[in-house]
This record gives sequence, C-alpha cells and structure tokens, in this order.
Amino acid sequence: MQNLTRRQLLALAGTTLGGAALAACGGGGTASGGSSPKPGGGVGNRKVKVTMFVFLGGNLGVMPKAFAKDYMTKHPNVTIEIYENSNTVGYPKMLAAKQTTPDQPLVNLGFFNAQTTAQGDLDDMWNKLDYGVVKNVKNVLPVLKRGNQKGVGLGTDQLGIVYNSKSLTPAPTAWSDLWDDKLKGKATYFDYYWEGVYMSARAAGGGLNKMDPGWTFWKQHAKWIRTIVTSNPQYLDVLTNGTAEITSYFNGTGLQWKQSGAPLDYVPPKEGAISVPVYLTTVKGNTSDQEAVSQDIVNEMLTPKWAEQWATTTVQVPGVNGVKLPSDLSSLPAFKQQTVDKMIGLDWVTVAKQTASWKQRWDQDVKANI
Amino acid sequence: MLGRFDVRGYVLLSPALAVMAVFFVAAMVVLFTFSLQPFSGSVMLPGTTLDNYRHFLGDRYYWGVLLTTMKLGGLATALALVIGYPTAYAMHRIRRPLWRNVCYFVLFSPLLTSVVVRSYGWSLLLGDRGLINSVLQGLHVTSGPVHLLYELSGVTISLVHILLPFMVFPILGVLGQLDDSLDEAASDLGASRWQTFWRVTIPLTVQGVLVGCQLVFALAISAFATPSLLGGGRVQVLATLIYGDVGELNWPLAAVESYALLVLALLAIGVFNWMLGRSRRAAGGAPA
Repeated sequence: MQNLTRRQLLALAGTTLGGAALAACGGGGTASGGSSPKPGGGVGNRKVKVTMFVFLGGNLGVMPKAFAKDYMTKHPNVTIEIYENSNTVGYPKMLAAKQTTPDQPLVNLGFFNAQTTAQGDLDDMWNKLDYGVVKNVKNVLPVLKRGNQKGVGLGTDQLGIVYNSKSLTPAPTAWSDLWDDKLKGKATYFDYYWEGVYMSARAAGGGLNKMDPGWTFWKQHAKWIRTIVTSNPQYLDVLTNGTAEITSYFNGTGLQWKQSGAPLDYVPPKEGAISVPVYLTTVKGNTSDQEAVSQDIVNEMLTPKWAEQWATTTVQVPGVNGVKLPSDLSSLPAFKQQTVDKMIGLDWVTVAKQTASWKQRWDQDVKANI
Repeated sequence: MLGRFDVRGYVLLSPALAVMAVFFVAAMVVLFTFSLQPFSGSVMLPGTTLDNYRHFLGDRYYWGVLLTTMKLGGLATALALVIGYPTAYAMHRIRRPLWRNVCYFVLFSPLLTSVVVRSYGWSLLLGDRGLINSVLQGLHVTSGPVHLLYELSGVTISLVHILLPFMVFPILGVLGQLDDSLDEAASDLGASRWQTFWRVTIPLTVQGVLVGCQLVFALAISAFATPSLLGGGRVQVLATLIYGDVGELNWPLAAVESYALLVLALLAIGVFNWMLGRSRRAAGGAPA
C-alpha cells in the first residue's frame, strides 16, 4: 500500500484543477463516461445479484445508492443490494463469512478506507482488478492506484478536528487543543481511534512503530473522554445533544453533518491532518458473473459523473482527473493549499499489521480509564 | 401424579432436554474446544493451548471487567428489590381487577418495546441536557449537569426499568399465597401494621424475594444491549467484551469469557439456591 506523502497529496489536489485538459486528451471515451466494451460486465441476460458495501451515515450512501438505481435501470438483469455499515463493524463480518463460507462472501464489492483495504491485503480478501475491464482506472490519479491492483482509489478524506461550533468558542486549531483543560470530560471518539493515539505518539517523538508514548498520554488523559461511540448516527447525536463538544474525525463526515444543519464544523489541525484514501475493491469468493459485474460497476464509478458526485456529497478530494469540487467546497480550509501541504500520510500496511494489538491497548489503556 | 422413576416424566421432558442438549450443551462443548485453540491473525489455529485462559485470568483488565459485571448485577438487583418489593406489595393490596391490570400493563410495558428504542428513550431522559438534569437544574438542586448517561448509574437505571417485572412477579406470587388471616392474627395479638409487615409478611415472602433476586442478577450480568448503548465505552461488562472479541473473530478468547460469565451465573444461582434452601428449612422448622 502506498504511503501518501505531502508531495503526493499536493499533486492530487493540484491535478484535479488541470484534469480537464488531461481528460480532453484522453481516449477511449472515458471523459464522456464510457462503459466497458460489454455493458453489464458481459453477463448478457443472466441474472446477477451483487451486494455492495457502503459507508453508513451522513451522505456517504447518496452516490452509491443513486449509482445502484441508475445501473439497475440500465442493466435490468443486475440487482445491486446495498450493505450499509462502518468498515470497523462490517469488515470483521466479511472476514467471518470468508472463513465460514468462502464462496459466499458477505459483500461482493464496496467502499473501504485505507486501513481496511490494507487489512484486506493481509487477509487475502480482495480480487485483482482487470485493467482491461476497468479501463477508467487510467483516469485515476497515480497516487490512488494500487500497485497490486487490488482496488482503486476514488477519493481522499482527511482526519482532523470536528467540534460543536455553538458551544465551543473560539474554534480549536491544533491536535493539542483536544487536551485543553477546559475540555476535560467533553471529548468523544469513535471506538478504537488509534489515529489520535498516533498523533500523540508523534508529538512525543514516536510513530506507528513506536506508539507507547501515545498510549501513555491517552491513558493519563482518559478522563477527557466523555464517551466512546460506535456508529456515525450515535456520533452525531453525542456531539449535538450537549454530551460532548469536540472530537477528531473525518472532514467529509463532519462537513456533511454541518450541511445537514448540525452545529458542527471541521478544522484541519495546524500540525497537519491525516490523509485517508477511500478505495473501491471487489471481494474474493465472487462467482465469475458477480466479479464481472462488480468490476464493471467499479469502472462506471470511476467516470467523472459518479466520481464528482462522490466527491461532492462526501466532501472529499476527488481521485479522478476531470473532477473538481464546486467553489463553495474547494474554498473550505480542508482543501486549501496550506492544508494539503501539511497532510500526514501513513504506512497503512504497518497499521493493518498492528491493528489487533492496538485494539487491545485501546481497551486496556483508554476504555478502562475513561 | 408421577412416581419418582416414572418414565412418562422423562418422555414429557424429552423435547426440552433435546433442545437443551443441542442448543446449550453441544454449543458449550464447541465453545470449550474453541477456548483451547491458539489464535493469531484473525484465525483460529490448530492445536491446543491454555494460553487463552492464562491471558484472561492473568490480566488485571479482565478482572476489572469481571468486577464491573458483578457490580452491575448487584446494583441492579438491589435497586430492583428496593423498588420491586413495595410495588409487588401495593399490587397485592389492589382489589379492583381493572387497576390491577393497569399495573400489570405498566410493569410489563418495558418488555413490549425494542431495547434500542428504550435505550434511546433513556438517553433523552438521562443526558446532560435531558429531562432529569433540566429539572434538577431548574429547581436549583444542582448547579451543573449530573452525569447519568454513559455511566454505570445510567446503565443500572435502564436495566432496573427492564428487569423490574422479574423481581415483582415472584414476590407477587408468594404474597398471593399468604393467608390473610395471618395479618388479622398478628393484629389481634397486638402487633402494629409495621410490626406485622416486618415480622410476619417479609419472612414469609423471602423465597419470592430470593427467586426475584436470582432472576434479576442472572439477567443483569448477561445484559448486552443496554451496557453497549448506554455505557459509552465506560461500562465494560463481560457481554460487551464477548461481542467485541467475536467481532474480531477471536473466538477462543470470547469462549473463555463466555465460560467466565457462565461460572459467574452458576455461582450466583448456587448462592441463591443455598439461601432458598435455608429459608425453606427455617420456614419448615418454625414453631406452630
């Protein structure tokens, strides 16, 4: 898995603006949203049902559901079922299904964040994309193409600070603000939020391979945490009903909540936000028809029409050339040059290898002390 | 009446025994084999090991979770008893069937709704800006919010709400079997109403109390949804731990934790049964 550096993020954000020129020069009908040579994955009239993993919460399901409806209209023999869940909760279920019924995967394709995608590499969960079928991959920014071809990036989100703008003034500006004395007992985090521990370890000279300083810090500051949440709807509820005022979470979800009317806002910390790509992958265990349709779906989603809808509804940096955010979004602090310059990329392979042990540390050092 | 070794009894019991054998005994045997298997990289490995038991029993964290589970069970049982006994006594004294049925409905109503709906309802009441805190601050009883939600207190309150029927009905059943003339006899002998209640009614209802406590404790220590939804990660009990480990596919550790919960439940049942036995012997040996 590629480690997304600042230089690469700069390239990613910059090339979206010049993407129109590239798209105009490209061939194969991709700029106009071209399909694979055999529409519907080449399964003819055979009935095929696929289940697609979609993120739960906010507007994360808007594009996938609209896409599914559109695709099924164009391909009446295909049924796309939506499985909505967080990667944290849904991926273990996928793994359980792989171990018990390997030829009947829980889902056939879906959206997965960088950590889950890397975990899937270790668990041999993904199929390799056939670039002869997924032709639109050539319009994906190089930094979001996977060397092993197991999945392809659609966009990039970032982790920073989300806070209740009505109750917390002035706005926080740094990771260290999460631990302000006045916020003791007013923070909330998603369960197993190791990213925050990483930032604390990094501040103390550590890193992904040296997380102890972070665990020590979080253990000592566990009382700052009011509650731990396990779903986006619960997260939104806790941040808006007065239970908690601050957290660290995704820019995309935070701004979606803001757009829906919640008194929340997102701030990229001055030390740098963590970049988190989102990938489309297909799952091992698919039948040949399911795999053909799944790869065709991935190909379709990489067209500017759907890639733009994904970026706009989820408020992420687009990963496909020829797509740019509207000015009301691109002018936000999360997408400014100085934010992109400071983005922190992670070695997701290391993350995937350490996740199990980090979960135990989280239970023992953080949850046991809040 | 069935004789001691009447085959008909076993025939009648056989469906229940079959269900128990398949869905409980067999499951526990499978879980036990899981608990002895090594685990690494989200996969159970072949072989046998006691490492899972060593890990569970040797780590202070798990003892802490065990303690929280017992604490939750104890608190819920005590609170359910404090609320449940007067409730049962009051319901016993109601003579009009309509009001008694209304009380039954009110008591049972928590069990008619989904645990998720119920838990979110409690979060509205117990939240920092919920109804309870609004009233407390409005009446100047407190200057700031009292943290009830995402605390052991909130989980306990919600559990008591759900488990109250399991305390009330055994006590109500025993109260219903009492001879009303006992109260009259005590009164005739000069006992006040309080003395009659304390020295006649309560001792005669101990068995109902113990059965109610047994049921509530067993259900409280195995509760999952309420601690999960209202505990906010702070209230870690065995059930949520098992769920988390199953979610990580760590079946061996989840199996060990399941056995820990089973042992805890059996110990509690054993203690209560011993107390029940003593209570029955005391009642049987009471002077005429």
